Amino acid sequence: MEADQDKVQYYVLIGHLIFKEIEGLPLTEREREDLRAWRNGGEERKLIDEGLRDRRALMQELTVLNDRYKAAASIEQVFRILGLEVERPGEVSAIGRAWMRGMSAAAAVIFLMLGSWWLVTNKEGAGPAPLRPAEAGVAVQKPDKAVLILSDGTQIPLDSARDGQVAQQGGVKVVKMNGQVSYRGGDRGEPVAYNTMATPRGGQYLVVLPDSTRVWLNAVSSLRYPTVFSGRERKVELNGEAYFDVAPNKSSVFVVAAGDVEVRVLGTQFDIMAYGDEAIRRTTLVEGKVMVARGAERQVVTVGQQAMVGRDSGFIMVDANPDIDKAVAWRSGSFKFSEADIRSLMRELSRWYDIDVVYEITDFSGRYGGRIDRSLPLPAVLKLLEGNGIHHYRTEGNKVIVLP
Amino acid sequence: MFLRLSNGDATALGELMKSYFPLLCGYAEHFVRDSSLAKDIVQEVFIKLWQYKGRFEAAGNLKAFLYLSTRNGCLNSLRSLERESDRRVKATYLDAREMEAIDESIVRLEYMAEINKVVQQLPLKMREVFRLSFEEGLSIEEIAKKMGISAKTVRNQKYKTLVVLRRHFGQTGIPLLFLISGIN
Repeated sequence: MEADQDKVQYYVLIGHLIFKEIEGLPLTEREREDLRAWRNGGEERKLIDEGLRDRRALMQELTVLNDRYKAAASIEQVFRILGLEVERPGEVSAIGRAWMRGMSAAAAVIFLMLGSWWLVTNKEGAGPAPLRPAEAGVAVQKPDKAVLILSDGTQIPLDSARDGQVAQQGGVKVVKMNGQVSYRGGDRGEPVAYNTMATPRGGQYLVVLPDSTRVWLNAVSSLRYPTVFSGRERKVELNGEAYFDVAPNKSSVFVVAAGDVEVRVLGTQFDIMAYGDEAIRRTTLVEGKVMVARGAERQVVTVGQQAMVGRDSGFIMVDANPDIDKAVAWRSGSFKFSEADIRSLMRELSRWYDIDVVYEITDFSGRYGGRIDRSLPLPAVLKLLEGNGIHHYRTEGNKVIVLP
Repeated sequence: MFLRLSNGDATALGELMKSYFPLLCGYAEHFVRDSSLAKDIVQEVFIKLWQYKGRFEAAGNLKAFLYLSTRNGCLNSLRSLERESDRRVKATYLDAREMEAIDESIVRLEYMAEINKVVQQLPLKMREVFRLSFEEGLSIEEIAKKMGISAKTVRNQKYKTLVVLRRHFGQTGIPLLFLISGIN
């Protein structure tokens, strides 16, 4: 591979030198020597050399290429995929990445709490594009759906349970209030019992752990945790995606185990995305510092960074300029994706809208970027995608069929 | 240029794509012979370039990256097409000699890139005047007739082009290529 690199670089250099020579620009003795050496390298080279002196043919070829591959359209496409430019009007719009870099962690937290991402885009001057009104159907108000599974296996569906105490685990009271579940009471001497909070497709829930750590679970996720924390470690197990706001406790490290990835924290805010059907597990740090470990590999992640751990391969990579907004967009009520292929796009939708996806297409190469409000009903979302040229769709009950 | 890219300057990416995108597609054509596939592959290359946070030591490294990534993208495409047992594609198996020839074509492509760098800087009208005058060797009157504008406008455009070129090439002088096209 090294040899290839050198070879290509050599030809790039020669091309540049020939240009200078033919166009009458000054060349150093060394450069002249290099050109001579190249020309003596074979008959094909002499032909190439002569070919370059036929300017008309050269310009014609250049015009043909410029015509066949219009750079402007592709630049637009690439920029759209990278989230570098505002695209068409409608709820789907890409936002600039530039503002992310300058943003401090504290500000990121604030904007999350307010849920007002529009505030941020307006700063750039680009502003949200005029919204195309959502058609077909009423805006969906998703009840906070989740199931709480007690240590003895009892399942308590939380959307139908009444506010107040929903269970007792030893000396610990489990209270549901205002769409969240919290654990009160209990002391160190408690026998440890484990509970699991699980969300189905289309569900989201907030659970407040015994140490006051708050965890927002995204759809199709589950969190297993003890009813009482004790010792030098506060350990929980995650499957799926959750946003953590960890209560500070200098004498006890908060640890999240997501499959074979472990995230050790001291007291910060971060999002972990670890769905079984996604190939990369991501830990995005909004505030503070964490350490991501897998087997013997460890990586420290500081504010504004994102660690990516491959599901099938063992790498841990730290991205210093992640799209934090994309990772936590679900917290402020939207999907955000950039350079996503149709499959990952549909996967996200299937988790929220509880659909099965069938593909009747052969071309999966399209990459898309944008933001969609999660409160939109599914028919409106599909219409939005179609309106933006992202495939066509047919629904059959719970099934969505993706058409070319 | 490459420093601006490493620092996340998006306009640098746009400029680079303006001159290199069509040429890298031309390079890809040697492998895949399908223009829309070539387009997809080269778009991926620039996406990868933007995501590559490393710093290139010299312009040469960045360009080498572009050609090599394009080649790899093409070979990957060919391989995955082969896996789907597309008989057409099996015929495009390239032997060492052909690969060498494709590499040598980089010399021509780089030469064209230097030209394209300037051509892309010219606004459309100027580009057309430049092309007609240089490529087809038309006189000012002929160009005026063809484009439906006055001879005075054509002369104006040529002069403006000269200004652009001077600005671009500065001290080193304007390449013969452009002078010979009759811009004076």
